[in-house]
Amino acid sequence: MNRLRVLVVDDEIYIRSAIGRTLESLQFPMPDIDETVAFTFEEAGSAEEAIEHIAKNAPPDILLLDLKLPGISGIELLEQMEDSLAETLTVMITAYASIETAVRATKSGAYDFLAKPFTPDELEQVLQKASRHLIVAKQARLLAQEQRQVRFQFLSVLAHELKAPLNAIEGFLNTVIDHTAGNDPAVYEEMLRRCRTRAQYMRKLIIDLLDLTRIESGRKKRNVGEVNIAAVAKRAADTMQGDADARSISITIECDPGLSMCGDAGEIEMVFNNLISNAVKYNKEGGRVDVRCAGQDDTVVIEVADTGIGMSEEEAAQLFESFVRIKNEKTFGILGSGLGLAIVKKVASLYDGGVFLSSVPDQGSAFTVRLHSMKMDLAEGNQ
Amino acid sequence: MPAKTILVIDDDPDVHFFCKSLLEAEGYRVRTAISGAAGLKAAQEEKPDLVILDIMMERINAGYKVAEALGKEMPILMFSSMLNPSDAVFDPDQVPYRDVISKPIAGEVLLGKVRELLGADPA
Repeated sequence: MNRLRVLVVDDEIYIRSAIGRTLESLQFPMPDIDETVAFTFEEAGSAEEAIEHIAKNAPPDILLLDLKLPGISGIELLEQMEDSLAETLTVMITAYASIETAVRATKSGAYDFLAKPFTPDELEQVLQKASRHLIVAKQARLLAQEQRQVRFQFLSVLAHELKAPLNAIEGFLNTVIDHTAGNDPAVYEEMLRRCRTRAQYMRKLIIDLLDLTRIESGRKKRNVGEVNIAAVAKRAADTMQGDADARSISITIECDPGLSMCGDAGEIEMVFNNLISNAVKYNKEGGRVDVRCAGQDDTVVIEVADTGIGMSEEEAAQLFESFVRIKNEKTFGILGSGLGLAIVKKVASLYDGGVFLSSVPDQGSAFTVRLHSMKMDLAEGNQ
Repeated sequence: MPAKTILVIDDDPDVHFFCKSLLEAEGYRVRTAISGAAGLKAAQEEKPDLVILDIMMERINAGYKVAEALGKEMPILMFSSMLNPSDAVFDPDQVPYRDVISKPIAGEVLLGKVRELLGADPA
């Protein structure tokens, strides 16, 4: 229940008390915006009293303001209090609304008019419109604030993720140029090699970031067609073969060569690339990566299982968030953008699917991704 | 006299390699730890002459908690990757660190601060 404060400013006491009676029992359920609105009645017999009341009690949500008041007029009140009434909706009550007064009142921030004499029904209609406007504006403000906060956090973390490799690269280059690490040339060569690796991962981070934001914004151009799953899986495995061979890790693919679904080959390849890359990176020397794909009706299920370091339940719970990388002794020295699984999850959601993880520390992890084939007619509309 | 021991606590393996390369070339003995918890354990076991500690480990300012736990038994040199080094100034009565170095680390600056805190002789 959202209780809005209504300040009624009128020199005629019977009008104030009539409005007060209406407000007392008035409620507007607004199921479409998930709110119910009720009112608190406050009153002032003159503009001077109203100014004092606002100073003492903070500005009301809605101001029902008589245009013609003894002393300071309603419009003068609006003009004087413009700053403090910035978030207040003002409804002018007037017996003789000329175009000029209406224009002047609107310029000073009046939202609506109520012509005297008015029925309780007319009052209710004006209040309903005003309170809906207020609530929607408040919700939009909160949402915008939340979005700013999320964006700020994302950018802070991103800045940190970009600063770390830059710092390492710059530190190494300084040392190589200034020759501050002794006389062993192998040390300097290793520093340059490390610079190259950090630069490569920085590029990977930027590419992942662009992929993720493109998918999130819905701006990515999708090339939808029939995608052969076995071929995509093979391509992704081939990309990681060098890294796998270097640590004697075998990659096997179990997939019906004819298995296919309707979708964007690039998106589906991202799923395989990220899962197989993780399965190799977080594996043990001599370990195994098993890729299994199966299809039924319009659903394709992809499973990538490894014999790697695995993770605890707490670690698994936060794994799909952006920039979450599990840091412990076992993962120390493994580089990554921290965005791979966030991308997998986003892609899965594009196919009405999901990602499931089962993992045992020190034994390995299995990621299962379920994708639903896109409808061909829908796909054409998307292109 | 054995070489003076420096414990480097940082979650970036390249920082370990960097510090090891520079400080071992100068004759120091260098030990490394990848987290605050591992660093505290290593500090108790090794009783290093100096601890070098990254402020931004795991979560923001986690390094300060480690510095507090280490107490005033040994000098502490902080690494900060904040863009503005003055952001990293905390109350020295609360946190017993002696100095802050901004990342990216310049070798001469690191060696200069280490000599300042441990004396010119690495042993």
